[in-house]
Amino acid sequence: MKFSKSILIFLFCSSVSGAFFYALHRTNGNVSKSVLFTLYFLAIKMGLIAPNVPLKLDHHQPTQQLLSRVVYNPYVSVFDDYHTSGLYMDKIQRPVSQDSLPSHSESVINELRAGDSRLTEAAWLLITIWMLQQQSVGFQPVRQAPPPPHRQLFGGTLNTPRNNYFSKSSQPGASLQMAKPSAMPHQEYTSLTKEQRRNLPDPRDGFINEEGHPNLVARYGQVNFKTPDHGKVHGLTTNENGKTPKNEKNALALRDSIVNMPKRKNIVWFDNGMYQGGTERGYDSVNIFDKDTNTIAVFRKDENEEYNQLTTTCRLTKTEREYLFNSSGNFVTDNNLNNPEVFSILNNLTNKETDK
Amino acid sequence: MTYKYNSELSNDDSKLQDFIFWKRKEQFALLMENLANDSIDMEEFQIGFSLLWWESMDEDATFTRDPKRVKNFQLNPKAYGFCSLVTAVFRQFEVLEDEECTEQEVKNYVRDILQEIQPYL
Repeated sequence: MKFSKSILIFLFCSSVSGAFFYALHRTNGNVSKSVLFTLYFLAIKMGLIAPNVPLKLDHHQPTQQLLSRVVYNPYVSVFDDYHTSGLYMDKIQRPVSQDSLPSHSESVINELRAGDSRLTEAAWLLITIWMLQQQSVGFQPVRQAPPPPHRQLFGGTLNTPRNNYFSKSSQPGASLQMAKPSAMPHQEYTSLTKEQRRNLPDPRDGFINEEGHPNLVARYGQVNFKTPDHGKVHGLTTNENGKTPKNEKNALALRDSIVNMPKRKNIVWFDNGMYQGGTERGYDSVNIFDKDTNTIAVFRKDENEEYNQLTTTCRLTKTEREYLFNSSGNFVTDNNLNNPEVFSILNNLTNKETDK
Repeated sequence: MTYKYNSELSNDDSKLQDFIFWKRKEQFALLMENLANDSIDMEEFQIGFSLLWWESMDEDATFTRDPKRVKNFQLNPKAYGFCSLVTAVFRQFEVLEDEECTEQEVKNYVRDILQEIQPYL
């Protein structure tokens, strides 16, 4: 990176000094005009002024050509002795016809239009563009997103094709917030629920691939959403309001804590669990429970997805824990534990055990 | 549907937790009354109630890690079920967070629980 910057700086300096000495030569040593020319040159290079300013440095060969834009063109110009590749100035106004120009004047015009150094100029621009594309954007380094742990991460699953909304060029950088993937049609994005939007693939997603258990994913958008009120569940620091500040660092810390849960000592997997089973909000889920801290992570089951997505993570009370184990993995929160249907699930399980 | 204490799920661990929460019963009740009377808004209630809930949970976790203290602890029947009642309120915050209920519904729920905890006060 430093090497590239050095080359850019060198090219820039040589270009500017070249412009100055060229002007000095053309104006027979007039320093003030040369400085003025260099400033013009710099201003055009930096885009401060449009380059459609007639160059009037050469009093001996006044020209009125207006240079409006520089276009790469592989074809030979009809006016000049261009090579098959190079740059030409578009929208050239020539009050004097080509036929009337003496060969000497033509060469001088070419010189004034930097015609002799066109190849150098083209090379300079190409190198600059190449370097910008390769390693930097506006001289700011781009943080490369970590490669997804699974080959189907952004492209659906083997059995369930999904649009690859995050092409390589549209993956959001680490500092970006959740936004509509560039490749996703606007109408399709707006039709998604808030939860669905939070669960769009992101390079910062965390994955759990434990042998013998369903695959799980903690989508960054969902983790980020849950960080303020659920960060404390995983020991993240809180502010005076008891909330974990919502930022990328904390979201990633929460994600990592969830993803690393299976590595803890006393972990219980409920591969066929439920969340609020027996209530209106209930659904099938994969639940991971840490017996030491009474912490649960809930992943909603979805047959159409290869990865079951994280929905929430909580610290359970002793009563909730009791029900979780008695019901073989149905996490029902205290506010629903008096629901008759919730208990009918428990009773059915108890009856099955008795029948056995 | 209001919450009623279910003794089927109660064991010594949960009874100990009930007691730790019950020690803060006045504070829990005051916050709920303030919300019910519109003295505080939902955000203030949520912050205060959550801080109190977590304080109780952390104390329970610390207490449970000390087997001697647990062994010598005298259970208090007056507290049975109190933790579940206040946790029922606390869990509503996530339902609200997920936009599956309104603030008014949470407030109504709190009013119901406030009636339920009167015998504990």
